[in-house]
Amino acid sequence: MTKYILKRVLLIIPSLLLVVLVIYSLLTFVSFGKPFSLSLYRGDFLDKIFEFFHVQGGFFSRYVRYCWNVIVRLDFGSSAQTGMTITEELMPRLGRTMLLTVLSLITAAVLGIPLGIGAAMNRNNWQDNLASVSTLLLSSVPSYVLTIILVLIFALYLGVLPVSGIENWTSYIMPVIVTSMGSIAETTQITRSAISSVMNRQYISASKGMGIPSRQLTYMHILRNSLTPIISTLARNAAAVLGSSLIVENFFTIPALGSYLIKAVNDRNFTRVLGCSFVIAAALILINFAADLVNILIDPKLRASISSGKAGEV
Amino acid sequence: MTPKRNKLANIVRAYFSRPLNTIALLCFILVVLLCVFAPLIVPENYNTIHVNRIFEKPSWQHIFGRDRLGRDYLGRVLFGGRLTLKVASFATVIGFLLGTAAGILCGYFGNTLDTVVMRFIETLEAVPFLLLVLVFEIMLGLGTGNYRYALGVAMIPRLTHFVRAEVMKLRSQEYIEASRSIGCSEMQIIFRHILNNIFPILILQLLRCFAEAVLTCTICGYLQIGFTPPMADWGTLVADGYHVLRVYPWISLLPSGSVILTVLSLNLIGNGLHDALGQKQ
Repeated sequence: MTKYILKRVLLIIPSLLLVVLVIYSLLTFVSFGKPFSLSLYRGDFLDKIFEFFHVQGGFFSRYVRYCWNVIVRLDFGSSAQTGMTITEELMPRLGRTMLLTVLSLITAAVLGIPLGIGAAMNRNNWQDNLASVSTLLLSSVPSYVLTIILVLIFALYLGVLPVSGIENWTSYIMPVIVTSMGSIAETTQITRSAISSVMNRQYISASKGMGIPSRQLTYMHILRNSLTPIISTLARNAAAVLGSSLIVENFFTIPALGSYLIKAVNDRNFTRVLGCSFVIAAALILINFAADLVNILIDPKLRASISSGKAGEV
Repeated sequence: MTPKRNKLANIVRAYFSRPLNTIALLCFILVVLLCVFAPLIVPENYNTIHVNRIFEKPSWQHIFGRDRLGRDYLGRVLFGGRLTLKVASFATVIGFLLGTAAGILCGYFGNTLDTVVMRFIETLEAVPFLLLVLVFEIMLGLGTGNYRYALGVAMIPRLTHFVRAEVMKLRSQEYIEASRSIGCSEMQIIFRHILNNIFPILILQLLRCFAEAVLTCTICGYLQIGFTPPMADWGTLVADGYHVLRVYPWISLLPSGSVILTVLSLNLIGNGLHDALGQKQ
């Protein structure tokens, strides 16, 4: 058990290095080519710039030095545009992105699970129809259209929420709705199918026969036993939610990682792109790791198979 | 009638027994036909600028009106749809073929191949969609729609996980073992048995992938990543209309409506097919 977790922790580092290697080599060999290769810069001035930005040496030595700096000293270098360190620029943006992601995940759980329970309990009832129609609509309406509709209603006509940017907590309401809509739909669907599959088991009929009140039956027996797929789906969704929050930030012009990344690419700012991708990849890998841990915690079957050394097969 | 054809006929009958399924299929065919035959339908070139007729209201001659440069908006929307569908189908073909192949190989052969490929897939999952799109754009050149490769690549991980899980379920079945015992080659087992058995769910996945590709393609367009003007997909058209939403709402509404119609009908077809396939068993 501990061995398995330790193994997973140690696997985080090579995956991170691999992600960075891929992005680093792509940026070096394909797009940016030689940085500062403008004809304005000549001779020893260029050498000074190279020295300043640490771009001497071959590709591999630069890559190793970069990874070393990042992992040991959390130093992503500094932006050639502002002179600020990338860490300084990234941290507040990372905070906003993570806040948006976490809030969206909570929203998905809080809205999706009750909707799914309602749908499964009242099969072919209005609640079931509402759940299936809304999931269908949510997965068919593009996020930017939802953004436009929300902005139109709440910002322009009612004037209760800010259109864009970050002023106070109300600025997060619309982005959270848009970011979470995909996983609300998925959570509802998974909850519905998980609950319906548990509901038809014999022990549920037996408990019903024993006279356990229906509310208690729903929450203590059915929901508890169908929680495993629901939570693992939510955990797996966390990565997707982070990905979509990077996109939704742009719709609402929130100064966070997504808009930073697009701007960095448009500016051909090597260090920014690399630092930003590193942070995003690290966040995603950590989220996936946390998701696996949660799965192990809630699923006794998984735990047993890990203890018996068959982890690769699940 | 052979039993196989009978089964197919049952599925088709089950599919068309619900009117909503029929409507969805008709809608999707209509959208595709309109986009494919766009050059025959549009009243004038979609790039001709009429400065004195900007934001003309929809009329019988130009049923979608004109946009901010006085271009015929019907043409803009239809050609935008052509572009969107072209990019989406390209991405779907790439992602679907690679993802399915990786899933079958990993699920069937397992062991070292599985570990290596799945590690690679996990790494790919760790690259966020936006970054993937931007990397492909820079790598292959900006503004010529090279993000379509990224759309395809982004599809691979989920598809591989899905197909791999299905194949793993099948691999331990008795009939696979039986066919191996009578001396079928691995290729025979993969193509005759495994592929045959997961074919229905592959079709469902294909529909889902295409719907998703349409959505992600227009999201890129909305973020102004992708094609240089005057080429514009539906997302770009929506973004263009965003600033004049209260005055000239149809500029945004028409392309958004087209996206929703396309994706909704694809999802409905997928749901209907899913139910039809389920009834068979």
